[in-house]
Amino acid sequence: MDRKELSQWLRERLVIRADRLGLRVEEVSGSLDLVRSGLLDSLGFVDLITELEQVTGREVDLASAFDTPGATTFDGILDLFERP
Amino acid sequence: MVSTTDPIHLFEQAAERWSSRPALRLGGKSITYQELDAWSNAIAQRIIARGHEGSRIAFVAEKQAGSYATILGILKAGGSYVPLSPDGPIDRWAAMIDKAGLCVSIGEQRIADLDRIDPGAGGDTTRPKSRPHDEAYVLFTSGSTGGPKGVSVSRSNLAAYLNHQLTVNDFKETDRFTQFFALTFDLSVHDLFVCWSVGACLCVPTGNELMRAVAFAQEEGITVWFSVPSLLILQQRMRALGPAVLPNVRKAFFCGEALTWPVVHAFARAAPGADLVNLYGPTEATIAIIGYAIDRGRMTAEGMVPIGQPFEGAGARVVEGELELTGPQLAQGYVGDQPATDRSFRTDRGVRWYRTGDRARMDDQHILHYLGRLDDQVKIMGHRVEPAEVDAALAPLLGGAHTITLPRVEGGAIRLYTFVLGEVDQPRLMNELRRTLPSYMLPERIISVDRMPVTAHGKLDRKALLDRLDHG
Repeated sequence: MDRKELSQWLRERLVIRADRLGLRVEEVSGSLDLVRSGLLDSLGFVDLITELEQVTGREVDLASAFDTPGATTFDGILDLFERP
Repeated sequence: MVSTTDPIHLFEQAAERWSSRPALRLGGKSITYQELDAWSNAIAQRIIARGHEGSRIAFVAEKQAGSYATILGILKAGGSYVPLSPDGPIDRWAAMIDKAGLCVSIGEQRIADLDRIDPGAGGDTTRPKSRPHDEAYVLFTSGSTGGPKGVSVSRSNLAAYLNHQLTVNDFKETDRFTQFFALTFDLSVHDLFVCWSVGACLCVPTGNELMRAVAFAQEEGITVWFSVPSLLILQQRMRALGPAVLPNVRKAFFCGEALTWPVVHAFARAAPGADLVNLYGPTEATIAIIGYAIDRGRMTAEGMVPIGQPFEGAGARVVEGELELTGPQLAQGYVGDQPATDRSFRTDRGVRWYRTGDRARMDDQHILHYLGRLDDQVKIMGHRVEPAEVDAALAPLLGGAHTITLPRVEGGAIRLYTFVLGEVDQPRLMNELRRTLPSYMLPERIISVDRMPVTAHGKLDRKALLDRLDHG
């Protein structure tokens, strides 16, 4: 998956939850923090990452990933799975 | 045995004895006892100088050093603190401030001011002498009749809790405590005051550090762990709870939610040298009042860990299936809500009891076992949530339309769903709810139904409603 495909997948996965908060799907992007915004709780966030691991076939070190500022933002997730 | 009637004295004694040791570790920086003591003295003096000694004082409880100094400063000024969640929402703050009848609040800007107070400016420690029954803090929990309930806890309530913990545990000044709980959560009071009573270091995760709690504990050399079970489940899902990853942890406490044996097994492997304790207690009984020391040789594979036996000086009984508590840790009641206080606290043959609403049983060894709730209350990441509070928040938005909010367990987490009789504009309602409810109380979805199903006995058929989630 390239960044564009990852973006698309994430938005589709989050569309119902965005709707729940009255957010338009295009607003689910960039620096939106998925946990602080209330879009996901911390367990939901980890479940999302686990799901992405299965979809992309890549395993990420979540504990290290959280060292990065903005790790729980939309872009932060893309960075996590784009990283070599 | 440490005996005191005012917890602030324990901090001051530690500050005098261990002045150069670190009291607080946050954001990679350490603050010594001497610095924190002086800083909080300066805050206390400022509060007194403005005529607010002995007042109930609210502040936005960010996880920043100023908040910790503020808590101490308010207590030193003879007052009680009312922490407001940094996540708001503002309407909920307003409801809390209204209920608590606060005369002072310290906003974010003022916290910033307090942060700039020179820690060396503290010098004079002259201040009012507090009395044991003076209030220490007011913490708000979810209320079933709409709006949060504020529990008033006195200094003597807190002192009774501390005296127990300091008597049964061998905490040391070299210990390093976690401070995982939000300051709006009463379990945070354990973190602060148990730690500071023994001259130990309180380690506060900031930002995403809480989500990587095990890594944080490794980096900070944590020796005393205290968390809700949910945090352990989160760490498990992150594959962070490997064998012996927490070799320094020698005491671990769990509270705030039902603890299951599989979770204990995972933590026991991760922290092979730790004494493990399951604590139980509502905010109304000051942090925890029942405990169960886990015997590693007698752990079972499945099921729930017992909650154990009341602390010395406390009492517990099961009346018609409901767990009731008594003892010196019982809070004063709910601020500004005498009817709720009268419903929950009752005097029986001269003894004051708190009715927990929890179902429990006592086995033949006098060990208490938690069996669930008598009402609809649920715990979401350790937060008490009354689903009826969601309905109460929706009522003015829907002009009295019939609503029911129901919890459902999904993938180990509890989610709320709200069913509304008639058509609804979900995005608009969710936006409105975000103004009054914290994010963990927001329903997953608001679902329109054309009728509320009933059982053969004429009661609302909750199962039928929840089944609709799976069948459109």
